[in-house]
Amino acid sequence: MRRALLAALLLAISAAPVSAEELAVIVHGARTDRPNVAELAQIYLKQRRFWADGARIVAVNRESGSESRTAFEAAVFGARAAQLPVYWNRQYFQGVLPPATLASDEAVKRFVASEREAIGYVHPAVVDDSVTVVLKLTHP
Amino acid sequence: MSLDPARLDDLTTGLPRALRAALCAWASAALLAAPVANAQQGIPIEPDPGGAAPVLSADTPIGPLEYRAGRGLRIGDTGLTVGGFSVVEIDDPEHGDATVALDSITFLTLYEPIDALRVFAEVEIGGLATYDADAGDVTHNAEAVVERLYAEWSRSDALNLRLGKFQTPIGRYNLVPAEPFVWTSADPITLDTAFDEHQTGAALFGTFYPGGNPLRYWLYGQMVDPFDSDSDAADRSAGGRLEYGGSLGDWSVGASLNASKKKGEWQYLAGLDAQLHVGALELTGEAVFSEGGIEDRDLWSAWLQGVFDLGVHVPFLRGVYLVGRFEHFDRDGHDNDLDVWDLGATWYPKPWLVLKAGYRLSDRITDDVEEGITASISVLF
Repeated sequence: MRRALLAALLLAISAAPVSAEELAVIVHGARTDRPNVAELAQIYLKQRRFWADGARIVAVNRESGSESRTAFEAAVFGARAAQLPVYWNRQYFQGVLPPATLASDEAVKRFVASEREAIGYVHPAVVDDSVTVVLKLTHP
Repeated sequence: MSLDPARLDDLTTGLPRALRAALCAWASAALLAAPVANAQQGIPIEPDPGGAAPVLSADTPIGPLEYRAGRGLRIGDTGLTVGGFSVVEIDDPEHGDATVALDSITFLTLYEPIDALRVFAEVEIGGLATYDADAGDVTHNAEAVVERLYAEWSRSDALNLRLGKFQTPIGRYNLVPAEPFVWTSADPITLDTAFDEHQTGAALFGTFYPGGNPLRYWLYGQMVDPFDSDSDAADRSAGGRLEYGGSLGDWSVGASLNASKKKGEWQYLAGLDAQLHVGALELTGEAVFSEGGIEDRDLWSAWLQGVFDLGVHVPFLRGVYLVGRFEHFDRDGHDNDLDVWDLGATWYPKPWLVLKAGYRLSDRITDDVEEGITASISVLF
């Protein structure tokens, strides 16, 4: 009985849906860089543009308004996420455009898995061994 | 690196068919619109964090044209993006005629043939039409000016080289001083009087991350005659700037030095600046001290600006900001110093549309400052 209860509990835990606001930041499996939240913010603001090995960083966003994008910006930029349109306007004056986007977490994962320079974020349920998780973000 | 549509089709296997088709079509368009050699441009460009999808997308012999409001037109596979902004200004000074002016149309052109190289141009067509509400007439004084034109080579975050005409890196206001991107319709007086807005020459700049915090530097010089600048511009100059900030950009402090020479006379300028974000409030301050032999440039000044984001506390007012700035300006040789207050509001109904209204107060009226209402409507295209 105790074993059955334990099994049921483990099953319940493993089957529990991951919070919609939890995100995994992923890079290519061969990449050794492990950016922290501050570096991630700098990367997605296009202030930090190169990996440690000198390769250009290709940051991939989800599309504006998507659940992942909203959670990512809240987790990384906090209350200042609302200022991003103003920030990108100022960058536009300097000829800098925002990071590119892909339209699903699955596409982001597969793109990152295939490109050494790429970094993206996806729902943890999408992650497999084709990419390396370098950071987990949680937004309450 | 580029995003192959066929590979993307593979990447999207498992997604709903309609979504796959849309995603692949989108990626194909973006691929054709971008130079294959450009890794950064190999996937679709994001409109902007609060923006819209492309409002124009058309296939052409040179690849698809894609236009996004406020982010420009990407011209096929040429590597070119052309955009810009237009400004309408409304002024109602206390001691002068009220005017409404189609002040300028500015074109921004970006060319990125390869990863490491960018070519950028800003051309302003100003003085298009001014309506004098008191006199009832319209005047035209259209003139095209190359505000910036440079090529930039990037080796790393720490090493970038810029050649051409560019903004003078003194303080932070002058880095992005154009009407749609600042908080007030009236600029600090310091900006027009203390130093040249542009340099024609070379700049070495970059960012280091000691302890994870960004340390930015600029070293620059004007080694040739200024290109397409006004007659007040210095003949030669050299300078540098250091800026150190918090890892998330919530604070930063900067220092600038500049030496400029005009008709054999040297002028020396030192500046300090800082920015701090506390909740909904952004505080920015700059101070400069300038001394030397160039006429009318011996001065000291300081200004402090506060911008309060009303949307942080009142969601209904998202995109509305209250702005206040105080500036003290003391030009050597003039009888009195100046205290100037700018109070106003800025509203972003859309990321590409900026509305501003403000009132300028001063303890004295001079050639440099007028009291009264200033307002503007800026459209980014």
